[in-house]
Amino acid sequence: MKFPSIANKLVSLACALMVGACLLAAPKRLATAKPGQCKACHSDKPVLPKDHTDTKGLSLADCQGCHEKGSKTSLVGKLPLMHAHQMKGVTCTQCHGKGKPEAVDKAKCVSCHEQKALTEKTSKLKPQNPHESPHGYQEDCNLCHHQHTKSENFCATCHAFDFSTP
Amino acid sequence: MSEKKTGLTRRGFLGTSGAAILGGAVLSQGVLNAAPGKATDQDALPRKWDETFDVVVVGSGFAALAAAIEAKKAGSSVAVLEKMKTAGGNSIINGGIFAVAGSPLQAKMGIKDSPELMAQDMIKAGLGLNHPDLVKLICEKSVEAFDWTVNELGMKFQEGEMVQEGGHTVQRSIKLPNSSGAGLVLPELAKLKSLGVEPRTQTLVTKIYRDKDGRVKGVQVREGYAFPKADSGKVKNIKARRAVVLAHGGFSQDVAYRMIQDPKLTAKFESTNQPGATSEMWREASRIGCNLIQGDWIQVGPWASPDEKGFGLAPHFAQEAAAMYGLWLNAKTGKRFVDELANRKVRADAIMMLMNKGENCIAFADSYGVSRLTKGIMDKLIQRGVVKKYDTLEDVASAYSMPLDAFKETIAKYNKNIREGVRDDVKNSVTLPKEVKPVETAPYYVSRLLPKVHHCMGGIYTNTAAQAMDVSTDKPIPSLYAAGESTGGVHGAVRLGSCAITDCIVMGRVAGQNAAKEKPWG
Repeated sequence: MKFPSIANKLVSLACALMVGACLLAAPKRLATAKPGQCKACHSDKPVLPKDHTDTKGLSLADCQGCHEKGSKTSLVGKLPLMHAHQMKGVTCTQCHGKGKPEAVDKAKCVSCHEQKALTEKTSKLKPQNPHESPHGYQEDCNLCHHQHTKSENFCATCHAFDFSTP
Repeated sequence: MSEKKTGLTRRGFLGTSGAAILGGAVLSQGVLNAAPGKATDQDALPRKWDETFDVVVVGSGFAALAAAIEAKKAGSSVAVLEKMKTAGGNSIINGGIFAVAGSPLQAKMGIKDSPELMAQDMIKAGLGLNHPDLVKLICEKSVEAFDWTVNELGMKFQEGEMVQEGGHTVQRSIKLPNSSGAGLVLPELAKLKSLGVEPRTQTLVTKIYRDKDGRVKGVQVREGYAFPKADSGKVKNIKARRAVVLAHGGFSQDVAYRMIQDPKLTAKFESTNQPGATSEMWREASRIGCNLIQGDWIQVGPWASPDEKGFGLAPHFAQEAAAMYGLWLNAKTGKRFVDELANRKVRADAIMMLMNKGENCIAFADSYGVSRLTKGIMDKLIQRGVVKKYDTLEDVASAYSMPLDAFKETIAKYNKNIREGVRDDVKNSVTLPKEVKPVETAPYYVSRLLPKVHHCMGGIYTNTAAQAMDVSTDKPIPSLYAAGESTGGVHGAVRLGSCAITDCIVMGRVAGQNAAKEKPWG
């Protein structure tokens, strides 16, 4: 599955770390962490149930073998999106550049997630295609799709639209 | 006709306000160098300013963006400060109708109108609380504001369609593209971007610095502010070399503040506004000596629905189909209860009185009525369950437990008036749209009516140069301008629908132009 976007402003790692610091103990953001190595970043506290399969070496597709899309155990909207990116092999530096992490703008997101295709993909969503907001909000991916915190349904600021946001 | 009722004659109107206009809208240097006001509470200026701009605009709705565009075009450096995550304020979810007196669209439809007639309508609904000089300026500049959206912003409008909101004696409200205020905000944002300015979102203004000499010299902000966490973000001081423009909007979502103004408007009343429509800047403007007037005139929109959150889409159906081409009914009696094209207060009050007695009201239109709506809106309304569709009048009556005979009789009576060209006895305050027809074409459509808190008519008292006036001296506060919903005295007791955009564009532009003309300090 394609995952819509990172984006815009304030998404530098530094900022994200600050936000993270306010919420409990922040997981580390290790650029060197291998996909599936939860403990590399989440060293303080186990993040998976005790009897969960060892994720070492798993890819996102492997995860989706059990956590099937559309099922009760689907991971959509449950993990900050960077996990999906990481497990698909999209690492920190691919979005934030090498050296001092750069803020990510929309151009970066749509370089993989072509906007027209994305809009088409959500065209059947009721009661409104979120990528066709009359208010132009689709121009800022990060309003809904967060990488380092849980994504949100920004439409719900004013509407009772029930979207689960990847 | 309404001259008698309002006591407003063309001559009186021009007489009282002409002088103020001449010295106002286009600022003479004399006005710019207004005597310093006596500030009620001055602040020590910060030792160091983190950033400096010529003009600092607070807010990012219609008025703020118009002010920013004008100030930037006049050569000023401009910062636009928005506390929420997105630019556009409440304007970006506005209903998208724009009152213009004497527009080319009206001319093509053969509708006769004039700034004087629009002013008369505004003052009649406003119960004469409107400051006539401001009303006159806005109405006279409404065509210029429209031309600006076309020539400056490159907007295009659908011809042959016009909305009539309650209280307007003629059809003068132009539909914005995409049936939302976004249809104007997005072109404003694009224009501003082309000039090199982008709103700074998540930037809350926490203080306006008014110096001992009375002049406003900058603002304190929290950058990276996460609404509504008061202590979020990093404190910064921004110097305004020329002026500050306050275009921060209203407070419809701020229950505590609105109950101070109007105790009836408790938390049980939902609002059509975005959550950021709160009172911080109203309190701050008061603190530095602005004169906030008529704050207890808070508009409740009559056309909203309990079946969707906020403003939603129901107002389009209830107004542009049911009020214009159909009927509003008391479901308990099957009878009409108010002039469907009366002003918003008359209609909202009527609905709330009935609701307090346990009686509910509906907006009703036939297929012809809904055919007048902008394409696509009805599909969404039906699909969202906000408007329901019925094949027969019997089905409508049964769905809302409405007495069928009374309902049919109500429709028959209205249709007879329309068919015979007799002035309708209920919808009688205005000239009905020419396209009006008897309501008789199945299927039929209904939305439930629930008034929601919508607009603050009161606010900062300004003159026609958009200068904020000092509460102690009645003189302009040096280097402080205000426009849009943050200001008071334009709409009086009741704002007519679609006049907000006109007010915001006209006064926003005036504020921006004049702010850029102030002499820099320091």
